Order: sequence, then C-alpha cells, then structure tokens
Amino acid sequence: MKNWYKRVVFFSSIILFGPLSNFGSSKKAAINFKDRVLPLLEEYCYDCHGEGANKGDFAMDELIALGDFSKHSKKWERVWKNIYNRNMPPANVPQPFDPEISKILSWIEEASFEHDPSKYDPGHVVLRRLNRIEYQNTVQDIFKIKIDAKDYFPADDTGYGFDTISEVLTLSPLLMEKYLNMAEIVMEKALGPIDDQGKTYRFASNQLKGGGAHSGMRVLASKGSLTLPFTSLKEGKYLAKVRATASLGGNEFARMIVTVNGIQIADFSVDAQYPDKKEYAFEFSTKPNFKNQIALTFPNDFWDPKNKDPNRRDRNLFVDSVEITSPKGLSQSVKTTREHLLGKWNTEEIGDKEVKVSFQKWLPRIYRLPLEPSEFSRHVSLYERMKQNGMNPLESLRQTYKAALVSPTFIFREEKKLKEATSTKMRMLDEHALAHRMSYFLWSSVPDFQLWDLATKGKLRANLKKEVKRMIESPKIDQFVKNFCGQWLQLRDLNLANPNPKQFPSFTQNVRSSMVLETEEFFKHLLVENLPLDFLLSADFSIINQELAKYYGIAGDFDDEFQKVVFRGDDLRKRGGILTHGSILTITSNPTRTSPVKRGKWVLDNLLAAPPRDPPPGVTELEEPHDSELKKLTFREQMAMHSKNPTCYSCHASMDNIGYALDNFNAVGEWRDQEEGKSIDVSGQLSSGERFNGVRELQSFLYENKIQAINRSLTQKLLIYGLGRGLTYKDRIAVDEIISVEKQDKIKLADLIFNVIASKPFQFSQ
Amino acid sequence: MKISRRSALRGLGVSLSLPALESFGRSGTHEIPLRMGFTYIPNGVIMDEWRPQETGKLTELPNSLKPLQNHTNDFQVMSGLDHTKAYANGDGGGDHARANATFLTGCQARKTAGKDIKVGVSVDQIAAEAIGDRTKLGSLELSCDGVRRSGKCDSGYSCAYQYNLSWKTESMPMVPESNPRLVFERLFGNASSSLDRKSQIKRRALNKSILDFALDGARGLNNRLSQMDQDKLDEYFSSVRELEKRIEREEKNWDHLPLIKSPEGIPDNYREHIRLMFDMMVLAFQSDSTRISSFLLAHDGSNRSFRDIGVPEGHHSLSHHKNDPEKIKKLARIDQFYSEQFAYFLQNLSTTKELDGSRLIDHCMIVFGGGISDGNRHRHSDLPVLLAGGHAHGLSNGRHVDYDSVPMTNLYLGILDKVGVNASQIGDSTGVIKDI
Repeated sequence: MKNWYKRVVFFSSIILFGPLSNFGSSKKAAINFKDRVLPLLEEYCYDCHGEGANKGDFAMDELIALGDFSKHSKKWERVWKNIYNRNMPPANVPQPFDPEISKILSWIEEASFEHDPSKYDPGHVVLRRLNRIEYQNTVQDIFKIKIDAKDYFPADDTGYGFDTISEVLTLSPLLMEKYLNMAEIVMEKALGPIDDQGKTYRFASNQLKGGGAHSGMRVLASKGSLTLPFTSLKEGKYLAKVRATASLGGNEFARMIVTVNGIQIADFSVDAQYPDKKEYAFEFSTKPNFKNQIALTFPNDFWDPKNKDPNRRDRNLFVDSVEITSPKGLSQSVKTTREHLLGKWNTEEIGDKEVKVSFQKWLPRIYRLPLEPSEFSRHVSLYERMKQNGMNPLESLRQTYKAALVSPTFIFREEKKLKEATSTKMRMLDEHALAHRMSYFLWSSVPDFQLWDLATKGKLRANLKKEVKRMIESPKIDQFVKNFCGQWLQLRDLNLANPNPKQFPSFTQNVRSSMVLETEEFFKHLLVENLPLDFLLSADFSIINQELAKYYGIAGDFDDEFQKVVFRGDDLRKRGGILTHGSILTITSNPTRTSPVKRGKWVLDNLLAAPPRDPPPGVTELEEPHDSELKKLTFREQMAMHSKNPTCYSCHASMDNIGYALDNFNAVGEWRDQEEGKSIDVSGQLSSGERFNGVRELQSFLYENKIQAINRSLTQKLLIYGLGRGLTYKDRIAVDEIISVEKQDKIKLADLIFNVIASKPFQFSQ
Repeated sequence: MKISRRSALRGLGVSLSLPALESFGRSGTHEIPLRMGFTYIPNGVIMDEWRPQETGKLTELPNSLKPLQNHTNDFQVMSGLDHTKAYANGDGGGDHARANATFLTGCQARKTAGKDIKVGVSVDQIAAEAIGDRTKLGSLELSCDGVRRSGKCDSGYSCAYQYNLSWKTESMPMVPESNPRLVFERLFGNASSSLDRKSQIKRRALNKSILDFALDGARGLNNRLSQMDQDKLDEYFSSVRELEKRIEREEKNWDHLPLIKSPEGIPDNYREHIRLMFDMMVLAFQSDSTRISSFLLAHDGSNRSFRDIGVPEGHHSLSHHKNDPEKIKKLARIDQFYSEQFAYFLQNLSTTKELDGSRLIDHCMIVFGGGISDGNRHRHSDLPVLLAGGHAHGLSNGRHVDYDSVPMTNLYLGILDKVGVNASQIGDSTGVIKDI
C-alpha cells in the first residue's frame, strides 16, 4: 500500500514539477521535494494525515496531489502554521528535529508562498502613531514637564497582543481633538500661562464640599463649613473672591470665617441680603504645587420660626462661587522649563534670535529627524505670521510649537531609509530612524541627545552594542519592563482582576500592586544582569517586599523596598520562577476559583509560542444537557469529561495538564496543599507522555525541554512589540537567526535584546 | 435642615444635576430634533427570563426586564432580529469579537490580529456623515471599558473589534470615551478654564491657523510616503478636517452655557459609572450637542464580577452555564442589573423636558441590546433587542413584536429612515423595517 502510494506521488510530482511549473528552478526544486521534504512529511504526518487517514478532515497526501501549491496557499498556510507553532505533529508521536522542521517550512514557503527564504524581506511597517504612553514620555522628555496623557487620551487599540501595532493605532477625530487640546496644555506647562498677569480659576458652588445645594448655590443652613481644595502651581500671594449672600435672622448678619490650611485669614459679616450676592475678597500666601484647604465657616446660625417677620426667621449662609487668581510672574518651574527650551526665561529678553536657536535645537528633536531648510523656514514663517498678528516672540513661539505638536511628523513616527537601495525589497533604515526605533523599543520615548548625536554623525550602527548596553542600564528601561512585560506577561490585566474579597480577604490593593512589581523587578533583574532566559523558570529567587513576604509566608527581614530573596527549603518548593508569581497566578484565575485552562493557555501563548488553536465557534460541546451528577464531580473530573470530546481534547490535553500542575496556588496565588479538605492532585501528563507533579517539576520540564520554544516565543514578542507589526512566514529565518547560539550556550536576556535590535527586520525596511 | 434639596437633586445623576433646559443654547424656533442612541449589553442574556412570552401588548414583564415595568409605554421588545455576520462563516472561533464588531455594522469582521483590519461603516456613523454637522459633535461614543485587556483578544481578532461599536470607515473605529469627566469637558468645556468669549474666539482663530499649518505639513509628508502609509495618513487628513469643521460649528453655536458640575472621573462602582455615562448621553441630547450616540456597557466576553448583586463570579465564565440552574439564576440577575441601569436612563429621558414641554424621550430612539442571544452557545440569532422612545415620531411602543428572522440592520435602516437619512444598505440588510 505504502509503496503504491509513493509511486503515485512520485509520478504526479514529475508531472507537476515538469518544465515551467511554479518553481523558480523547477527541476532542482522537484528533486529537493522528492528527496528531502516528502520523506519527512511521510514520516511525521502520514500516520494521521495520509494513506487514507485524514484526522481533523485533513489529508496531507491529497493536498500534495492537488499540486499547484501557490494556488492552494491558504491550505498550505495552515500546514505551515501548525508545524511552525509546533502544534503538529502532536506531542504523543515522534517529533521532528528543528533542522527538519526548517526544511519542511522552507519548502512550503518556496513552493506555495513563492517566497525565497534565503532572500530576506523585512516587510513594511505602516506609519506608526505614538501610543498614549509614548506620547506622554516623548513630551515629558522633550519639554521637561509632567503631563497625564494616559488618562486624557482614549485607550489605544491593540493587535497581536500589544499597543504598539501601527495598523490598529488609528487616529479618530476624538483623538485629534485631544491632540490639539493637549498641545495647549503642554505649552502652558512649559512656558507658563499666556500672559504673566496671573490666572483666574473659577469654582462653581457645587465644587465646594459640605452644606447643601440650593438654587445653584451651596448653603449652610446650620453651623458648619464649606471646604474647597485648591492646588497652587506657583508660590506667592493669591487673591480669592467669594460670591456669597445670606438670609436674615435675628439681629446680626451671617458671618463667614475664612481659614486657609487651618489658619484664619478673614472674618466677614455677609451683608448681602438673599438672593442678592456680593463679593468678599481676601488674600493668602502659599507654596508651589501645594494642595491648599480653604474653609468657609458659618458660626452663627439662627432659627426662630415664631419670629413675627417671616424674613427674619432663618439665618443661612449661601455661597455662589469662588474665584482665585494666582499671583503675577513666573513660577520657578516655568523659569526652568523656559530656560531649557529657550536658554532664557524673562519674556522681555526673548526675541527672534532666541526663538530661532530654540527652533533649530528642538524642532528636529520633536520630529525625530533633521529638518530640511524648507521645513525650517515654514516654521519660521508661521512664527512671523503670529508676530504680525500682534503677539510677542514668546507667544508666537508657543503657537509654533503647538503647531508642531499636532503635526503628522510628530504624531506619526516616520522611518526614513538610506538612499542607496541594497536590494529592491530591502533598504537599510537611516540612523535617525534606527535611533527612534531603538528608543521607542527600550524607553517608549524619543532618542536622547547621545543617540541623536550618534545618528547625526552616522555612528550609531558602529556603536550599537555599547548603546544598547547604555540604554538597558538607563533608568528609562523601566518603561520597557512595564510596557513590554505588562503586555507579554499580561501584567496590566492584574488591575482588571477582581477576586472575590469574601473568599480572598488577604488579596489587598497593596498586595495587588506589589505582585506586579515583583514580576517587573524580577524581569528587570534578568535583563540588567544579563542572565540566561531559563532563569525565568529556574530561578531560585525572587524580588519581593515586606507585603509579599508576608503574603507568601517567607520569613526574613523585609521592608517596603523590593529586595532579592533566595528561597531555601520548603520555600523553594513553593516559590521561584515566574509560574510561582502571584501576579501570573491571579491573572489566569476566575474571580472565585482557579482556571487550569487559562493557566495552561497562558503558558502556551506567552511562553511557548504554541498558541492552542482557537476554540471552535459556537462552543457546541456545551450544549449537552446539565447532568445533576456532574455537580458531584470535582472540577478536574468535570474538565476531564469535557475534554473527552475529541474536538476539545487535542488542545485541552496540553492546556489543562499544565494548569493542573499549578493548582497548588489558589485564585490569588496563595499556596495550598488542600482544597476543601481534599489534597490537590497536581500531577499532569502531556500527550507526549511526559509527566510532572506540581509547579517545580512543570517548570523544570519546560526549561529543560522547551527552552528553544521559550526563546523563540520571547523573540517573536520582542519583534512584534519593537517593530509594531505582526510576524509572518517571511520572518521565520530572522527569528531563528536571533536565537541561534553556539551549542551548550544559553541565551541571555540582554544579549537577546541586542540580537533583536541588530536583526534584519529591525535594521531594514521595505 | 430646613431647605428642600429637591430642586437640586431631582433624583437625577449620582453626582450631578441637570440644569433647567431654558439655559441651554438651542433657540426655540427650530423643530425638535430626533436623536438616536445604541446601547450594548455583553455576553448574551438568559432569553427565557428576558423576553416576554407573548407578542402583542406588553403586560407583566419577565424577571430580567422587571425594572422597566414602569416604562412599558416607552419601549417595545423586538424579536426575530439576527446578526448572521457574527457567526463564524468559516472564520472559526471569536464569537465575542464578532458580536461586538458586527453589532452596528452588520458586517463580517476580517479575521486578523492587526494587519488590514476591516469591518464596515456603522449605522451611527452613516447617520453622523449625513446629519452630524448640525450639532457640535457629529456623534458621541461612550464605553465603560477604559482599558484594553492585554495579551490577545478573542481568538485571533484584534482588540479593536471587541472594544469599539462605532466605525467611521471600515478600518477606523470611533474610539469611545470612558471617563465621564472628559465627556463632560468635551460637551461643555473645562470648568476651570475661565476664558471669556473674546479669548475663546481668538483661541479658535489660532487653532485654525495651527491646523492649517499642520495640514500643509501633512501634504509634504504625504508626497514622500508609500501607498500604505498614505492610507494611514488619510486618517490624519480626515480627522483634522473633522476637527476644523467642529471648530467652526462651535463658533456658530456659541452661547452662554450653564454652569453644571462636572463629574469627577471614573467612579469605582460600575453601577455609578454606567449611570454617569447615561447622564452624559442625556446631557448631550438635551443640550443638542449631538443627536447620535453609542454606549458599550461592557465589551462582549467581559469577565466582570457583580459582587454588589451577589454574583462574585465572572460574567463571561458564568455565561457558559452548561444549563446549571444556579448559574442561570445568577446570569439572569446580571441581565436584570443591566435593565435597571437602562430604566434609570429612560427615567431621566422622560423627566427631561424639551422647550415645548414634551418629554426628551419622545424625541429619541434608543436601541438596547446585544450581539449574542444565548451566551452558552454563542448564538447570534433572535437577539435580545429593545427599542425605546420616539413616541413623537410615531414609534409603536408598549408592544412585543416578532420580525421572524430578519437582519438587525433592517431595523437600523428603519431608524435611519425616521431621522431622514437615506441609506440603501447597511452591512447585510435586506430591506427596511418600517413598522417600528
């Protein structure tokens, strides 16, 4: 039977790959297929997908016999994906070696996708908008100010698991509107308010706390106070005016005692008679960036319902609004930011010369590329037009920078390429583009002066290793740790997790935020110390604070600072490696119970680059009627029943078993040996036969047997995050190159980052 | 306390009160406009507890709709509406992402995690394109999901499909706002900014020249870009132009706006968050800042827990109830929760008066529904749909009507027809439901 079939395939392949078939050098390719690829497919696939077998409705031999591979590329793509993601062959049958997989994949790419794997195609990254985090960091680094873009801008959409993906970073009218408003906020922080005459803040009555509401005013109907928090941006003397009125009662006017930060400032007799209002003014001095507490107290309530004059029965104090004017002149922080931008702070001293020097220095940095002379003069003429409209140089400069901040070259990251094309498809990025690829990758922000200078001199590539090292050692690397791990490991989701507090009272806000920091600090440690990737799972240490030490039950001397702790004895049975981190264990749980499925899926998705196939649409397997017996089964038994269904089994077998091994951790990552009095079964067995018992054995299994998958997974995620696009078969070789090391050598984290930056997809573009 | 608080509280809003309508800008001579709103409930509902058994006149409502009992004269329940484009149709898993993406578009979302995202223009944006220039904001998009889930969204679909209802083009969603304070500031300006009218006008003129300058730069950039990048830059051109138009409209509509307290931000409590967002929609309609709005209560697949109402489990994981009566009971409780919030909204719409004394609700058409009927099986047919308001425009409230398996988009064409927008097609529509 087998021989017969082989002959048929051989025969048909001669027909298919005869002259003028879809191969480039057809004969050679046909021989390559017959001699080198077909035997592998027969060996690894045909047991289930050939010679009459068509598991999952798929027969490899029939697909081959169809010929015309490029026409059937959709089907071949499925084959490619399943082999590349190591979903196929399934783990319970002999596995091909990596070079063999590579041979099969290369052949599919050539024959079906008509792509020559030896000619790298770096793809094209569509013009990328800054996401809101990048926007915030960029503006803060350029202008040396603090803004809150993250709350002000709407959430960025994500693709491929990250918020840096060019095609889904869309620019809606809402966002454009906010860019314009934000430009004004940024320039106000950097240059101070439009004039130096002091700014007036108006507070409507309902911004006051205390009392009651009445006819659009705040009322104190009995003894009491109204309070108003007020943050003063600069130091000096503030003028406040309270618009108030009072109803009469008894023989005196209502009093209004003003205290600021607990100190009495004024004591007014409110002689305005309700509903006529009058302004009562006072001054107070305060510090910059200080949250002041202003209180208006009504001490002399009066109520006499029997008074003959109905207008004199009830004395109440009403406050309509409060106006506060900041002192004239500049705050120290504005002086500093003006000097940063213009070299001078005094409005009178700022003229055309200072403005042009500022433009020359900062506009290229804002746009991340050297400015063409025509572009420069376009900005100068906007500035001149503003001056002709009667604005002084400083104000004209403000408007010009505002314009820069809503310009597409700021909002979008343009990546220029070097002029001389190395090949038709592949062009090297120019060094300024490389500089901002690197800085947004590792810092989520603009290149600093050093990167910029190196790029300008054309020496960035020559110093690549040194620069990557410097960037990793910079405090700005925290942005990479936060934003990359926040999404790769899904740490950001911990803020959305809502474990049931009745069941898990120990899971406090403090524990929640400490958990995120543990994983971030741990990852950062591996990165900065350049430790091997298997430490992710094999580490016998973590980095925790007192809060987590208590939560995990680790004895020792801890405080609020995060510190490295090496686990010993029983602690080591329970902790060490990211699969023991409370963060990961909580993210992958449901609010009331653990979810072995989610935990297993997390490992496959994020660590092994072997995402389980999507569940079938419609989840039909859940239609089976509810069996009252089912309730008596343990969760694990229920899952086992559920997974008996063959369409579910192939994926759930691996997902669930990985998850079971983690079941010593409850839904908030606390250790447990028992659940409801029963000891927990944490044994797992993969369909390949490998067994492990509990988290330690699972972690060792993964780093001993799956380290290449982990390397590949992390590399894929780094490229997606750093490039802002999804990966395709065209990136396969580049990924393999990044993770290839001398035998016996382990890949270290910082080295891997360098390899990613030095790789073709990162250095080149279409 | 001797002074009545009634005038201030009026049972409205958790932390803000609406001013008298007279204080708003629209002059009284115009015809009262008809508004449209779309509200999305996630993860399907327990249909048996949600939908009245009989068609015809609404009487005693089933449990999940009970909170709406006082409003039966102000809405109709619609059965037999389908979103067949939300089914896999060969695309495999991802019913939650599709349910969201299809809800207002009636289109099959292209299965991609990022590259070439594509679904279709949504009904609200078709309306905004036609009549959006009559108000300050063409449309207003709201959501209670302020952050995206990290990692992958549903089964290989970009999260853009799952977190946006409204699509301006087939590839560009109208990203919703989730912070009520920021919505408020968009509607009425920033309370602490004290620019007088003269400076406001000056500022607008400045902004216009700034945008002109930026557009000029964009044209320069466009010349050196590849086709794909130019497509991206088109988003920029179109959004800047939109913004310019908006600035002009603000000039036209300039009038004294009342001082209303702005909400402080996103409340911790989900119920309050929903209510504040509904308040914003009421304010937007009342002030005629927009006539078109959509509100994603939560994205489909949301695993939010509802401890306040005794449901600590996650909504999504619960929705795969496998016919467990305990779970079904809890799910129905969540459905009822959403109905309660909708009832709050209807209450506010009906106590708010137009200039001629008629109720605001009579000049609104509000869809309340979801893209999944049975969450356990991810069905996209015979969806839970309710249409409220529009009495002044002849809508047949107080009934349960069964359209017997027609596309949901046929209803949308009927709604567009009522506001005078002529659209021949939305997504998979096969005709217009005139009987609404």
